[in-house]
Amino acid sequence: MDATATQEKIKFKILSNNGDDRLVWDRRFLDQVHEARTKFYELKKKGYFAYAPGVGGQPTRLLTEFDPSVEEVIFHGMVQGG
Amino acid sequence: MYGAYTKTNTTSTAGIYLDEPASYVIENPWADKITITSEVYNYANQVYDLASKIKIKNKDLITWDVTVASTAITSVKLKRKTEYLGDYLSNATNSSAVVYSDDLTWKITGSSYDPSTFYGTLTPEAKAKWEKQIKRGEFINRIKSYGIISKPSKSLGGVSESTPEGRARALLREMVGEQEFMRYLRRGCLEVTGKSGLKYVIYGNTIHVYAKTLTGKFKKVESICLVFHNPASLPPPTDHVIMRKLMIESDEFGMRSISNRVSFGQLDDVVPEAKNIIQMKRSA
Repeated sequence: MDATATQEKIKFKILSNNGDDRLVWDRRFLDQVHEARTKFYELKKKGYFAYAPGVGGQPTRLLTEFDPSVEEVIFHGMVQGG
Repeated sequence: MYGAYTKTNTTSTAGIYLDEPASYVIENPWADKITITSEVYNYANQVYDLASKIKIKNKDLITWDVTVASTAITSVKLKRKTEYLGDYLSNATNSSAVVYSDDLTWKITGSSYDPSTFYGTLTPEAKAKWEKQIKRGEFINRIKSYGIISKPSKSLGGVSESTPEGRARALLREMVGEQEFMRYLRRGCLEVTGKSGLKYVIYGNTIHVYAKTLTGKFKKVESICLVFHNPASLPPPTDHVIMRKLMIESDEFGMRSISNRVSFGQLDDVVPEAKNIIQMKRSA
């Protein structure tokens, strides 16, 4: 796989009882972008939190909107005080 | 001997799949036949992706001489030690390919919306070669490590990456880097500084909060408990650490407002900024 193709791959990492489930999609393909967007809002609707982890000194961001420019998104489910 | 690995993924019409590269490790490389099944759609790039994730653990045992022969795939000849089956597949243009080698025949077949299958068979010469090596005892320890049950990974603190906790640790390692991850394995906790200046020491089951004192040292002032909501489907402990780290880094005050907190000691010697935050939230 060439470097460009690798750069276009976006990963959703969804924390789960399996460790994490991964959803890989390619932002060059509109149908995949559409499907990823649907998945993003589906998870958000279920109460999942989405983050763009900080890279190279950048702070971690809490994502409220789908952003196809983010290379990696980590999701986790609802939380509460223990 | 027969070895098989079947992976059923959640796939979509767009070819998006949920997977883990580690899931494709061939654990039994000296089997007569190895079958790997996966749901792959008729997209060349996904066939390539899947192949590139099939890790051949006996890479140091064989020198591969591979020709990719297909009307749809450019022939590639390789004679080198390699790690991934996908190394043989370049310029794939559809989901059907046959990969030949001296020792193994790999065949990749599939059509749109049908599961694709990868399989390889050992030639008698290759089998004899491996058996000879086994008899000599040169690879006994290695063979044990290639057993069906994955070998615990030292780099993940003795947990196999095929387990939920192993995967969570691998993700944490990706996030924090090798050095910080090794510190996490040694100490069992991860240190994160919030935007407020408070220092959070995250454990698998709790968070300890340290505030800077007037003397410049840090003092433990709070213990925070924050867990996943659904107890029926709990992620492994390291996923809890990841969740807490992400929340502290992105929305420290939101995290504090959700969590349950227990205070420790007096705040007289704590710097005013930290004191204000702690007191403000205590009264909230």
